[in-house]
Amino acid sequence: MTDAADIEDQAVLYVFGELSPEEREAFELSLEASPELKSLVTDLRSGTEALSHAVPQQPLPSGLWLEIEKALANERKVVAVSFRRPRLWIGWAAAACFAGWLLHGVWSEPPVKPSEAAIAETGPLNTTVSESTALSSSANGQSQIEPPAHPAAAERTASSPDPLNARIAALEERMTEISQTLTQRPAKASVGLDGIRYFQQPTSDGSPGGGKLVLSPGLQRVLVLALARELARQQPGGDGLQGSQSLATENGLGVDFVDLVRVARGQTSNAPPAGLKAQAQFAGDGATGNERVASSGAGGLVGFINGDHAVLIVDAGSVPAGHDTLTFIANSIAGSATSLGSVPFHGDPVIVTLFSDRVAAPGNVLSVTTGSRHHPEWPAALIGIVPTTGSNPP
Amino acid sequence: MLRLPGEAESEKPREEVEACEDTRLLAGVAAGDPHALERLYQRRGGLLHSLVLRMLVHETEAQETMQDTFVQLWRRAGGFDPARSAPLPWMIMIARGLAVDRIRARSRRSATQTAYEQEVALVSVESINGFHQTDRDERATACASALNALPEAQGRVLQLAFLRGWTHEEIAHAENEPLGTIKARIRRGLLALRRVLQDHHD
Repeated sequence: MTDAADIEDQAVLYVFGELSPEEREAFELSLEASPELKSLVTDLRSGTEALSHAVPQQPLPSGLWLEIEKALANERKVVAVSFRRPRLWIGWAAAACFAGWLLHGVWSEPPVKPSEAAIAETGPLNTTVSESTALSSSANGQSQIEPPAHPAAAERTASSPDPLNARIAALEERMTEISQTLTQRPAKASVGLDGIRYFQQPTSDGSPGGGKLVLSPGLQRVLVLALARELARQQPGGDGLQGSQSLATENGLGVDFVDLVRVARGQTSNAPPAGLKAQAQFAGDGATGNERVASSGAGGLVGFINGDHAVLIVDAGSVPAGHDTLTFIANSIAGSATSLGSVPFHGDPVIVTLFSDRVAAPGNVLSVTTGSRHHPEWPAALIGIVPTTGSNPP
Repeated sequence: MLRLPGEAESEKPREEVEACEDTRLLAGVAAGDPHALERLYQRRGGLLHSLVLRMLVHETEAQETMQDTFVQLWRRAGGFDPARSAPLPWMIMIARGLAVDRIRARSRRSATQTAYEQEVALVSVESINGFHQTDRDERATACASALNALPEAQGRVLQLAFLRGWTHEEIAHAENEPLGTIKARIRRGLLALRRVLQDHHD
C-alpha cells in the first residue's frame, strides 16, 4: 500500500472519529500542510452527511425536546460562578447525601422541646407556619432560636474525635436549628447564622408577615437542601474555587440547581443572558408596574439571602399552570430593572442562586416572574418580590 | 448528471446558506443561548434522530442518545471551527459517535458469520416510498437512491462501518477480504455519495 493510500485510509478514520489521540494529532498536522488532504476530508464529511440523509427519516418524538432541556438543566449555569468564599471541606454530593440523611434525622425524629408541641400535633411534614407561632422573642423582637442538639449528632460529636465527623455533627445541629426556624417562624425571619437571612414571601392576599403560610413538606425539603449547600460553601479552609468546575448541579434528588451569573453593579441593565432579552425586558417592565404582568395567586416564595447572593426556591405550587420559564429581575430603588437571567421550569423544584452585587444594594428588590415560551402572548406572572438585604429588617 | 469534484459552482447553493445558519446557531449556543440550541434541534433534530434510531434500532436508546448529543453540542459548540468542518457533518459525527459507543457497549461483538448476517440485515436499506416531495425529502431520496446504486458490497461495508460501528478490520474478517479492499470501498463509497449530495445542491 502506498503512503498516499495510507493517508487516505487515515482520512476516513479521522472523519469517523476513530483515530487515537496521537494519530489524530499527527493527521491534523498533515491536514494543515496539504490542501489536497483537507479537500479529501471535506469530501468524506460530505459523504457522511449524504449517508445520514439516506437513512429513512423518522418523525421527532413528541416530548423529546423537553427531555433534552431537562438533561441540559445541569449544564445551564447561565454562566460560570465564582465563589468569594473558600470552597469547602465537603462537596455538594456529600452535602446532598448529608442533607438527605439529615432530613431523615430531623423530620423523623424531631427534637423534643415543649414549645414544639403544637407542631408535633400536626406532624412535622404537614406544617402550617405563621409568625404567631414563633418560639420565643427577644426584647428587640428578633427570634432567638435555641438550637437543640440532635441526639445522633451529639452522640457522634462525643464519640468521634474525627474532625470531619465533628464538622458534620456541628452542621447537623445548625440544620436542625434552621429546620425549626423555618417550621415555626419563616416569614421574614432574620436569624443570625453565618449572615444568612431568610425570607418567605407572604401570600398574595395576606398581610406581610401576618398571614398563614403553608410550607409544604416538599418545599421544606428543598429549602433545607439549599441551606445545606449554602452552609457547605461557607466552611473555612481549602483553597477556594474559581470558575464553574464541579459546581453543585447534582440533580439526583429531583431538584434542579441553577447558578446565575454574577452581575456587577453598574453593568448595563439591558444585558440579560443571550436570547432572553425580550422576555427579560418585558418581565422587568412588569416588575415595575407594567399592567400586563399579572399577580399570581401562588402561596409564596421561599429562599434566603446571604451577603450579595440570593437563593430562591420555586416549586410547582408557585408557578401558574403552563408556565415554563422563570425570570429574575433586580429592581433598583431608582426604578431600573436588570435581568439576572432566566431558567426553564419543568415542574421539579428548582433552587436558583443569584449572584449579583445588586442583591446587596439598599432599597433594591428582586422580582421573579414566570412565562411560557410556547405561548409568548400569555402575560408574565409576578410570583414574588423579594426585599434585598438593604430593605430587610435588621 | 453527476459532476466531478471541483467543478465550478455557478451560484451559492442552498446547502451553503443552510450551513451558514447552522454555524450562526452554533455560535449562539457557544455564547450560552438556549434558544439557539432549540432552533438547531428544530432544524437538525429530525435528521440526527433518524440517524441514531437507525443505528440503535431501539427508540428509547435513540432518545437517550439524542439527549446526550444535544448536551454535547451545548458543551462543545465553542470548539466548533467552521474553517475545519461544515456544521452539519460535525453534528452528525457527534451523534454518530455517541450511538457507536452505545452499540459497542452492548456487548463485545463477535465477528461470527451469524452476527455478521444479522448486522447486514439491519443495515439493508429500507424502502423510501412514501416520502413527501419536499425539497428536503428530495435530497433524502437522492441520497438513498445513490446508496442503493452503489455496488452491493460497497454499500454494505459502508453501512456496517458508519451505521453499525464495525471496524475496518472486523469487516475485512467477516467479508473475508483484504483490509485494503475494505478501506477503499468505504472511502470510495463516501466520495460517491458526496457527489450525489453536491449534484443535489447544484
